[in-house]
Amino acid sequence: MNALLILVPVSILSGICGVLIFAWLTRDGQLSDPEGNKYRIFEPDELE
Amino acid sequence: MSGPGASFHGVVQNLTCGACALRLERQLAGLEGMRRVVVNATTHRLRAEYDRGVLSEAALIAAAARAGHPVQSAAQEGGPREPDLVIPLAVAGFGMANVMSFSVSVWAGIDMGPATRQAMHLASALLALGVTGFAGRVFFEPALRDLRRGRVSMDLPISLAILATLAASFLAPLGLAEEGYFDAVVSLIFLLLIGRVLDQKVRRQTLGAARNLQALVVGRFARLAPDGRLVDVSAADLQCGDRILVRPGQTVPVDGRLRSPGGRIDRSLITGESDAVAVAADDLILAGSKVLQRALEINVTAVGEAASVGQMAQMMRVFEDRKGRAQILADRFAATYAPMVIGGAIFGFALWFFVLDASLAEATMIAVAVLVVTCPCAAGLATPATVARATNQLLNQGVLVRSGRALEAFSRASHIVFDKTGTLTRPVQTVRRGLPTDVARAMTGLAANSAHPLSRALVGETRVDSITPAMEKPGEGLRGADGSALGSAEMFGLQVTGPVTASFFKSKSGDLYEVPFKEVLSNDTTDTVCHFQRAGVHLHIQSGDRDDVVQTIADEIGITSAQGNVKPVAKADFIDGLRGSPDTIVAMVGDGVNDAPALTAADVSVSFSDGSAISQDAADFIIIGESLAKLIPIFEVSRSCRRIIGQNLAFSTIYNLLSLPLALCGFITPFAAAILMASSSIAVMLNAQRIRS
Repeated sequence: MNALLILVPVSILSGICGVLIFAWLTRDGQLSDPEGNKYRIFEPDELE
Repeated sequence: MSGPGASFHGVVQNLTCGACALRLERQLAGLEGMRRVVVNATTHRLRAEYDRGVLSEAALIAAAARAGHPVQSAAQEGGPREPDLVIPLAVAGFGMANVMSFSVSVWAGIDMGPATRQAMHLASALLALGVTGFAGRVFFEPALRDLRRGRVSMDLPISLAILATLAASFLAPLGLAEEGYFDAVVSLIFLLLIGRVLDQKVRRQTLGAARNLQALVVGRFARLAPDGRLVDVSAADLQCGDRILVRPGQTVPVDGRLRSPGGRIDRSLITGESDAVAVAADDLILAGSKVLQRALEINVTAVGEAASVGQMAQMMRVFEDRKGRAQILADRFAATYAPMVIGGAIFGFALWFFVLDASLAEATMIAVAVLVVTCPCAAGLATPATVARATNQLLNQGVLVRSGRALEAFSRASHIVFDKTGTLTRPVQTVRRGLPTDVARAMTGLAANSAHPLSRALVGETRVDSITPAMEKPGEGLRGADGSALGSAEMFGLQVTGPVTASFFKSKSGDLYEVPFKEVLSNDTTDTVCHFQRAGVHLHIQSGDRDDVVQTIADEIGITSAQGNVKPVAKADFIDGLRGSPDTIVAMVGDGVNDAPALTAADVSVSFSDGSAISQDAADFIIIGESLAKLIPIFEVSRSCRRIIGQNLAFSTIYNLLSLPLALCGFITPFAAAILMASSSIAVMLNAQRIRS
């Protein structure tokens, strides 16, 4: 059970990091254009 | 990267797909001097930063127009924005997943000592506290705010449920109870937030689309170009030194000096006083003044932020007004229902704790289940979510909805009254060649005062050298200050026969000229009329034009009830006359100054963005452009909106009636209650999404 003392805090901390990154992405506006972003992966000549 | 930079914000038109947005973005990025350009395909907004020395705003707009996407400059979306609910949702979701993993291990009875068990309770407690403190604020803050104002909203029972569950859960880590309910606390917050996030998304989409349309519609003004032509420009494109013509009913978008000899304006938007004020030549006219009676020619002296204050205020008032009415309804509902929910919870607690001898924790959980399960979130969402979706669908079709009530009224419309000219037909000017040049010039100078379809057809592309100050008498015509006049035969006391629309022009020397028009049916008139006749709606034409002209048009499109020679007030009387029984709902469609009384008298009304500003003020729906066929989506969307509101209300009532006794009997745990409540809200939101046009 000693493993839990390390693994549980580690997993929670990494989860918190994930949430922080998500919050940053949202505030930064990177997730504000889902419609355009699905086309942004193409090269100009592939858009047709 | 050199020289001073400038930025540009605008609304992009004709964006049908993400690929168009990307193509436009790449074309604009290729312009010399462009530093950064982003076209958002979701919000249809464009943001650009460029070198002021190399590129200009005009060149940017021209390049976009060449690419097939006209851009209208618009204020940057800003102001106090409500916080994104997605972040609290993410936090709550993270907390829920972790607390669940502890709960499952405890429940599953994995071989663990009391110390491990205690540690898991403690970890759950810490996570639940964090989630409640961060994500729970979404409910606590409005609940507290309302309480301070002496009101009760639905956020209060929700907050109580969260806090009571949290408090009861602390019995477990303190060793006073066998199990904790931290999983219930966090899942309650998570599931409730799902409903809120969906609701916020729909409202943002609707508001964004409405703002974009407003930017395109509000403030199309006639600018007098140096060569004398009238050019249709938007308020945002006006510059100091421009001469503009502001027509009756329009709101002056800039500060400027009056060039016309005089006129009357309504300053109520700026000063709050509703009396009309007389202004004389060279007076300063402030942005936000509304022009009355006759068109004013104004020399622009100030534009932009400072001058557009009044205009913005008016625009926002329309929105706040609409939100206000929906909000009042929701508040009234919450004020009566929320105390009942809290009362039910207290009853449940008392019943189990004092009568049935349950433990404190058990009785608390019963109370929490009642609080959560009877929260009428679904009922509260049933109407606003559906109206928001319907409004959004119509905005996408190019129809502005000015009030939620209008959707309900239009869905029940049994009679539709149409104006003729400008609504069913477009006037085309046929004979001008017969007129001497100076007469034609004087006539366009007079016609420029009015937004009437016949006047607009007269001015068309021709040059306007000088504008004759004039008064417009709705339903008759224009009387110029110099004694010239332009208007219907009746205005001059003439009798005309034959199925041709004709106006008359009297020059200042007193000579009378006939100005014939040909009227063509708009492309979609016949289809639209057929659609409504098939739906069993009674159609009428009420026109100020001569009766024989009206009958000819009516025969052509198959409307039997048609009347010409109708005065503006008589149109309103006709509508009042139709309203015999309570089942009769009359809709009015018109665009003229002379339709305004009828638009107000009707139960629900539709105008056009190209029509007179007065008719738009009176209308519940404004169709962008001139397409009559958009009446069909208005009708279909409002009908399906009413049907779905009915379904949603029925569903949420049944849900609440069934769940309350079950919760009181202790059959529903707080966790199950949270799931039931959230799924009922989501069911209502999803049902609203079924509205399509």
